[in-house]
Amino acid sequence: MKIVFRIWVVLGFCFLALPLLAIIPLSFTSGQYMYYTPEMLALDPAGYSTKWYTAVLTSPDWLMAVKNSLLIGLGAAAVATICGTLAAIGLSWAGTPAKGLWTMLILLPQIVPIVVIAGGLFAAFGDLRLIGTYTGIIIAHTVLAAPVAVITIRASMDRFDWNLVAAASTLGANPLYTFRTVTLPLVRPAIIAGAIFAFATSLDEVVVIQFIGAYQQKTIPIQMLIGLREHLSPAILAVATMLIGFALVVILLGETLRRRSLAIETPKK
Amino acid sequence: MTATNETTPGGTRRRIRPKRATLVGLALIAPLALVIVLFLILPLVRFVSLSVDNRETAQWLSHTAAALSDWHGEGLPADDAYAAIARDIRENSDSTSKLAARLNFFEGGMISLMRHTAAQLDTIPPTRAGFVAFHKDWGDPETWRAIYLVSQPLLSEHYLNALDLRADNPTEPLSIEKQPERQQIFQRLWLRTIMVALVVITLCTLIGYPLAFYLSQAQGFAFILGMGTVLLPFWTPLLARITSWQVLLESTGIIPTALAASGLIEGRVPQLFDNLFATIVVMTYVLLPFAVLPTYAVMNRVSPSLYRAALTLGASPVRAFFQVYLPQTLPGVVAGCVLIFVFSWGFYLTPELVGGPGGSLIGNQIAYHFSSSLNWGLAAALSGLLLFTIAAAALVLRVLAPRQG
Repeated sequence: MKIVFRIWVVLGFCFLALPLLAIIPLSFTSGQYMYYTPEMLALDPAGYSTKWYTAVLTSPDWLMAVKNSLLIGLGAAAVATICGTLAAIGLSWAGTPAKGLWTMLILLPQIVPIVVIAGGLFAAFGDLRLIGTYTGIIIAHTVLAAPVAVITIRASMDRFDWNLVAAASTLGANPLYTFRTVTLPLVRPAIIAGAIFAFATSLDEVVVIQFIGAYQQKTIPIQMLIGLREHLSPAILAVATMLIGFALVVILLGETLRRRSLAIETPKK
Repeated sequence: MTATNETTPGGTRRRIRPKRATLVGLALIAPLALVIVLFLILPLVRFVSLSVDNRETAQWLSHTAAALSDWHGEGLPADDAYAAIARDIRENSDSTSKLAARLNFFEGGMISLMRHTAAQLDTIPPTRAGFVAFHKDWGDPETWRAIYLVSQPLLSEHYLNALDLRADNPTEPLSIEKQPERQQIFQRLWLRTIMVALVVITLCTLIGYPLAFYLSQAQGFAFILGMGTVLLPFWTPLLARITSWQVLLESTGIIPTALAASGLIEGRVPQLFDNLFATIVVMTYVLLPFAVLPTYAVMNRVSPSLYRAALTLGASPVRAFFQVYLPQTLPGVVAGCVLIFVFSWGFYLTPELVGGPGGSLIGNQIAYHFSSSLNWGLAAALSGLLLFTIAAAALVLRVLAPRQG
């Protein structure tokens, strides 16, 4: 029984990890195609090269996609994190009425199918003249990324000890000063984690951009989509490998910060 | 602006009146709530309402609608209806092509009929005999069925079409019959979408539950490695994950090549990509973390002592698992299943890229009717049905697990 469980668990982890690990060596191929050549399997150095990474990093198409992803991701993450931090504080504030309703409203962008959201935004943005604009995409990504920021920051706020705020105000600090010197430093790791996760959410998004974006706004995933449909080359594997690296950074930074913020504020009871 | 004492949860309310605390709380939530209402709720309401709201098209057929008010939906209408549609086409000549496109959603061939009729309108006598003599389709009751539907400000036909149904008599919306055989596509797709969701839920639970259990027991490096393995695909952008699976599964890809080389399979290696199999495998892969993480969170809070007590009291490990541990961890499993159902229900990009025609789902039809066939009413009706089902699933979750955040 135990051995069956062990094997099942190992297979489960392999299912999660192997598809990603399989493309990493392949991205270093010296060939033109997306499969392992005999030279690669024989570990012949001639089978490997970094030429596809050079190709990506010198391609105007990919550099434009990176620039757009950064611009849109940073813009959306900034707005989502600011609004999300305020909302997360509001949701843990004792005086707020109908918290369940607000939580549901804020989580809605995660629940509604993305293709339905894309349809709705395309119809609405047509009237607002936001189709094919950075503003439109940043607004859309703010809506999509905000729930992620709120969930992350709220988890930390729920463990926040409001007695500290009460103590500060008893000592004469005004609310803004209290926020700046007491609340913010304690919640800051969660806010940074929320911002990182919000950025990652924007970087991942492709369906809405496909509907409301123009060619000039193409991001990394859109450029990958073009690659998958048109000229399949190992360059796309190099990009995918770099995105796996990006995910690793998100996990190391984001999850560490999130865990730290949860650990610090746990009230001692 | 000095006191916020009342914010202590359950604490004393000394200096600030509760009313002001309410306002502060609402003001904090307001910016995000406003963004979501303006740029999600309102666009969605407007989009989904396109499934029934036909006022724009109806205004181009105002005279026809009046002339058809005493038509009972059977046979051909009287001469005045032909005169009225001639007048509507003449008065709204700018919109004829749009009108024709919308008529065509309900009756094939209407685009060409309307184009020819509009071009020759001055030569056609505005009577039934004149129109039928000009083109035989004007003598087809199906033509008038479509015109009647599109002349009404409210439309239920898109919802019926989304379920492969149609109104037999357009003047009686409840006279529902099945679409002709060759036009039936949606019932099969709804069934396929439900089937895929159930299979993916089952696979994710079967793979995810043991993984979550392992994570809840693991410590140190084993935990970090295990958790990292669950989180890495979770945070890797979807397009990168789909690329990986394409490289693995497509006919020249790693798995078919390896299968052929290994000699495990005689003859041709079966197709693994661009079909339903690929849709199910990749969806399971994408949604697996949503089975593992909620279950892990619940398992982390469940003390193993009850399970051990059951063992001490003589229960077999299997019985102790099914009667003690599984019920304790069930809320996590249910939460995971509902999440996976809600996500898989609206999947679009994954089936689009790995599923081919045989592996496409309702979400793909929404995108198709939205951006290719431009039948926004039908896309909106399909979206409305998706949202309705998701709302029902959310309600089920609330009833089953009312204390889950």
